[in-house]
Amino acid sequence: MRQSGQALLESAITIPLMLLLLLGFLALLVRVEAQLELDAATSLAAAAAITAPAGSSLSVDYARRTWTGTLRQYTYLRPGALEGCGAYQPGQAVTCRGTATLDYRETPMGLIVPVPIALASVATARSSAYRSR
Amino acid sequence: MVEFAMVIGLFLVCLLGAMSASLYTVQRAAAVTGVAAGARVAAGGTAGPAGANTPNLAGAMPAVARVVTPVLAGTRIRQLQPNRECPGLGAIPSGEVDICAVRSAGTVTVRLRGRPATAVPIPGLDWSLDLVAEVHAVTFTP
Repeated sequence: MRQSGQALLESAITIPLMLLLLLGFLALLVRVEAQLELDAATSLAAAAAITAPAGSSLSVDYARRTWTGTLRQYTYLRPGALEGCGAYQPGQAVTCRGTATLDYRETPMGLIVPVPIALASVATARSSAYRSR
Repeated sequence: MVEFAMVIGLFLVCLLGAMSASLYTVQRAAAVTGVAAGARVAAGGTAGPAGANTPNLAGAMPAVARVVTPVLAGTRIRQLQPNRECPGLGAIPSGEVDICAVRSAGTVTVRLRGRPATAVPIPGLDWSLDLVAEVHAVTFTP
């Protein structure tokens, strides 16, 4: 009787612990994945900025549309601000800084990470020195 | 004995789940990189008259496939015709992903959608991929 009670107690401790470990592992994978997605979107935004004509304020618009268009597909990643990505001159580099928030609270992983996580990414693209307009 | 069997069973489920999730993350990471690479190709323009302002949709899909093929082992990768939307996830059979590139207004959207084959299949856990990269096409003023 006593042995059975002890085994039950051990199981009661081990099972939740294993589930928490699994959730923690999944949360880590999602965190890595979210960073990758933010990096890809910011990198594309920088690339889009230099597809606008040189010296044009359209660079910001192109970058913003690219960034929000790419990130809006990822429901767990809330886009924050995209800074930089301004007008450029031929041969110059354009740097974009994007921020987003990763929110686990609507998933079971919220048990492990109950607060939103702020993510940031920086990307640079250099325009061609021969870019005309 | 019953408790031990339960713990071992749960441990194996957790282990398989973790392995399956890890593989899925690798596949997803490759897909994110792939669609971003495809979008860059698509935004770059084509050769020929007025090609500078024409997105290279046909070149985008092979660029995506090149990145994802080594990771999506055992998965059929279908490149759709340029400017044709990917079918819904329900219409794509398991073990297949579709790549499509579509132009709308000034932007180009490259999408990878489907259900890749997985090395650790878990019944009821159907990992699907639906990733998109949207980029503004290159613009030259006349």
